[in-house]
Amino acid sequence: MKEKRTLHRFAIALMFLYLFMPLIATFLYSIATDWYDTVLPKGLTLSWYVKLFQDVRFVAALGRTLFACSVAVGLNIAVMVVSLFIVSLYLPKLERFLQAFAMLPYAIPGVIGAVGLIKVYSSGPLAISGTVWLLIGAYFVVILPYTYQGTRNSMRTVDLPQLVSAAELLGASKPKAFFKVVLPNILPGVMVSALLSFSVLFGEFVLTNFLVGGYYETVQIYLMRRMRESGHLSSAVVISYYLFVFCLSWIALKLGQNFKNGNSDNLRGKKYELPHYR
Amino acid sequence: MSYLIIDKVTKKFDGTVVLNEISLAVERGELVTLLGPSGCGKSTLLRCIAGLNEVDGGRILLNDRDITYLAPRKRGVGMVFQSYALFPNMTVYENIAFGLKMQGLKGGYIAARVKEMIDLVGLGGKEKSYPRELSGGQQQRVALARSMIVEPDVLLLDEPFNALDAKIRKMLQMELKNIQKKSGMTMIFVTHDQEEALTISDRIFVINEGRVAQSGKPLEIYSQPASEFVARFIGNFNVLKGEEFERLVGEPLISGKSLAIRPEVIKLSLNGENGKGHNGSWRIKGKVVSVFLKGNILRYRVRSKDCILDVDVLNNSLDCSLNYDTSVDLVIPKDEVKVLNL
Repeated sequence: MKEKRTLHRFAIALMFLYLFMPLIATFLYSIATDWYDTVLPKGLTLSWYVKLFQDVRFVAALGRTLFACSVAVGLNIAVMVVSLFIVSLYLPKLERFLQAFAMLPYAIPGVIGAVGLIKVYSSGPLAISGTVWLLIGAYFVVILPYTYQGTRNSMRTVDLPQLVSAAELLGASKPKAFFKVVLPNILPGVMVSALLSFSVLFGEFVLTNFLVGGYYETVQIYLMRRMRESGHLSSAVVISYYLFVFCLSWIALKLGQNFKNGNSDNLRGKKYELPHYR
Repeated sequence: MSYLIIDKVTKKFDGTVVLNEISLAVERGELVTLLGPSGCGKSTLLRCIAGLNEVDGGRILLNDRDITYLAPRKRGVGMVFQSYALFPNMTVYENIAFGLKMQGLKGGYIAARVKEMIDLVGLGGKEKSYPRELSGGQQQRVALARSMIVEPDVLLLDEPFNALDAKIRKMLQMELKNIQKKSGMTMIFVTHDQEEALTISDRIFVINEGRVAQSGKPLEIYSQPASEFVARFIGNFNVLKGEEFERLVGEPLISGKSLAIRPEVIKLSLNGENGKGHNGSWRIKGKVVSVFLKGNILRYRVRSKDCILDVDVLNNSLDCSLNYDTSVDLVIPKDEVKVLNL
């Protein structure tokens, strides 16, 4: 029995090592002085990170990426939550159409989508080709499947029509029923899908390169440029990116847990003494 | 004028008539039950009163106000749902206080009222629990308290005890009755459980195919069913066609109509025991086909002249259980045979 457990642990450790090896290697490369003809780096340094964060272009690119991703995710979540709320409550027959619509981006390869968007928006009344607004619009469409699935699943975990009816009969208006009852209950799912979408957009390159390229340098474009100059620097960019996404995930999950517990006082630092579970 | 008037209300779903010009009236402070089989329209009627379903015709008047087309929150109607519909993100306290908060009342007043309601439904100590930490019975009490705290003109209860086990269900039926008497609140209770309806109601409306089949006090409904449907639904009446009954008792009666006899009014004895039937009853012979133990009642199924009759006997002694194929005498009191209209 004990032998088996050791074997299982060894297998799991091996799997984790395999999965994390590229990340560990990238991290090592990002703190290496020299590493080309030895098993391990010849020396360690944080100078690549210092150089990276002292680079005004990187900070500006990071800001642009955050802006584009945040606006696209924020807009998408707002539209999706409200649409799904209305469809689930009043027009359940339309849910199939909404699903088909939300899944469309899966069917369109990034390159084709980008070329089509450039063609449509390079002239005419809405000539926004090469601007961040076209990028945000494209991002909005790319993350539709993620936000749709996440939001729909979390709405299905609660009996939405009945909760809204109960709130209304207790004197709440529809918006109040939505904000006080529906939103807190679906928030964990919505946050997870927002985070997933954010991560997807943060690493997206094809659309960004085609749609804005050098006009609006994001982290992805910056990374691409610096890769030609220095592998150490681009490794530092990748590790920074992973750390950022990790922090974001942790915060979102923590927030999600708190909202799921429904104890808003926990967020303010005041904890209730919960009774013993039955 | 009655407190709540349902006047020829019609409701259709995709062309199917669910409520067919249904009319009924409820007095202030009454606990009435809408009783009927699944799909008869009783829950739809409740949702129409609450404003959760729009009516296709007719009027709903509550306390002299026409509420037919008012928004749910403006009707002065409370509702307890079958699935409780408690807000999962809120504690027991927050759930119960929700209605008062929506009215914009002050915290001190809300706290006092919530405490009052928690005491009334016996949930002291559970204020900080979340719905998922409560048993089904406790969740039901929270739902009841949450609806009652806003003092609605009428409280609607849509099969609230359905998901509970028999013991808790019976206990809550009694508690609901007591709470209703204490508060004097008008309540409309929906159920398909005849026993539940008979236990708690001041009056019962038996609903069938979107109409009221019969209304009255529980005893009236139980002892004087107006139709074959009510007789079969409300109790385990023996319903026989006129011709069948004539053959059974050997006397000419009203042909073409059905007759109903309650199983517990038929006296059963072993052949030759207890002498003969008298002027006020018929005595017939039969054989036991099967026996069902229903706790305090033994139900004998007896065949006599190709008719099957159920006879309920109090299960007060093991000696009274008769075996299959035992010959028995049945005594049917004449005044307990009800002629049915439909």
